[in-house]
Amino acid sequence: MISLNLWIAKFKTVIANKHFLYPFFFLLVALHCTPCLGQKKYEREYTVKADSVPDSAALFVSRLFNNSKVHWYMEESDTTKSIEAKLKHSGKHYSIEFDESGQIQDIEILINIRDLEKNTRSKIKDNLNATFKRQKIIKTQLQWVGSENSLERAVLANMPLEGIIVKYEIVVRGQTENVEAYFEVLFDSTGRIESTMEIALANDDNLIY
Amino acid sequence: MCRLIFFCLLSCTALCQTYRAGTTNQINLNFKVGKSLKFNTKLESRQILSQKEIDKSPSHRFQYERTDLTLLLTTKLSVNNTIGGGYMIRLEENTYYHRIIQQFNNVRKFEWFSVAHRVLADETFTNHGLSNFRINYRIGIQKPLNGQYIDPKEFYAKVNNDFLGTWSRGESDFEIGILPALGYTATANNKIELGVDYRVNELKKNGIAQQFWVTLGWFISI
Repeated sequence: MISLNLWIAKFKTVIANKHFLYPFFFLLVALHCTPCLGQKKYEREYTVKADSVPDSAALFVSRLFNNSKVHWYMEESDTTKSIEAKLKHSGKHYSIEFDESGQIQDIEILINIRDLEKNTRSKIKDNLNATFKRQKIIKTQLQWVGSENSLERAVLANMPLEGIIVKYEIVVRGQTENVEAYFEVLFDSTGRIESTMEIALANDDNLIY
Repeated sequence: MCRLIFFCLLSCTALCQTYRAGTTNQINLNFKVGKSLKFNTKLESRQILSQKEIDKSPSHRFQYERTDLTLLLTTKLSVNNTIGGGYMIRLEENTYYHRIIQQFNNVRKFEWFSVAHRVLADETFTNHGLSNFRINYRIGIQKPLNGQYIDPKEFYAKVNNDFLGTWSRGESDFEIGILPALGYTATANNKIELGVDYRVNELKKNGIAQQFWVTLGWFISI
């Protein structure tokens, strides 16, 4: 080991004699001085406390899931804001989405793809096979859309009743022509694809290098 | 904060037979090359603030130890898997070390956290030939501290567990490391991590060797 001043002096001497290192240091300095050019659309999701969500949303959740621990999240994009309650109740995982004013949008329930009725399941799989070269189902959610009263009755009955539109939101790891990625695919109640959206993955460079 | 961590580390090391403690800083810059390749440059330096060798008194003075420059090229095998290779040059005690690196990564995002595996092999050379060969396995878990995703202006926690086998001219060694860190995502492409790197090695000898490093890392993606 050598002291700092001595090390700096020796470093200068060594560098002066090692011309092949110049390109490395030039590259390093050039790269580390390059400004960050990429500007992404600002989207954010964060935890919020129960007392900061609209009363109507808090009341709806407490009325139906009174003994469950609820995690509240705010999701912001450039144009919209929404509030999501996540909880486990009677062994099921629920995600309940509200708009900014507390008006309910939908209820999603985590299920296994095998829980779906056979015809719907095979139609979903056929459509996935037609869309992707290769695919694997990662997550399946039952989505109920309807009025507040209809959704409340459906939750209490533990099944979709009149006034509820049933959809299936499925996350797949799929390969298209160009690339393999995660996709969120929304199916209607018959298993027909309504929309497909690629999920933007977070930057994980700090886990790789 | 750093002083507090160091006070704890130095207290822990007081009874050790052999230890080194100090700081490690790195700047890690990544950018895309074409459609499928990614180029990673890492500049890392290490400074010793306290050390003790076997049967000697501890020394508490600043010493610059080494500087590494790593250049890695990686490509995605699939959405979760990455393979890559590269070169590292190290300057330590007026000697250059050259290292060839091969690595494989698997990163998976779960509902609340991410898990990353890394298997890395490297061969180190000096002017006198092959110096050592190492195999490293690292498992890391990363969890956002606010919500389910790590968004800009949010903190996250990360813990890496490192297992390193080294073979060098008939001798071998095994090192285990645990690296907890607190990270902050300044923007989608800028992350800063402050943590601790604790390692033990020379497990086969009478007194194990310990290392305590306070780590500071800056990850930039372009």
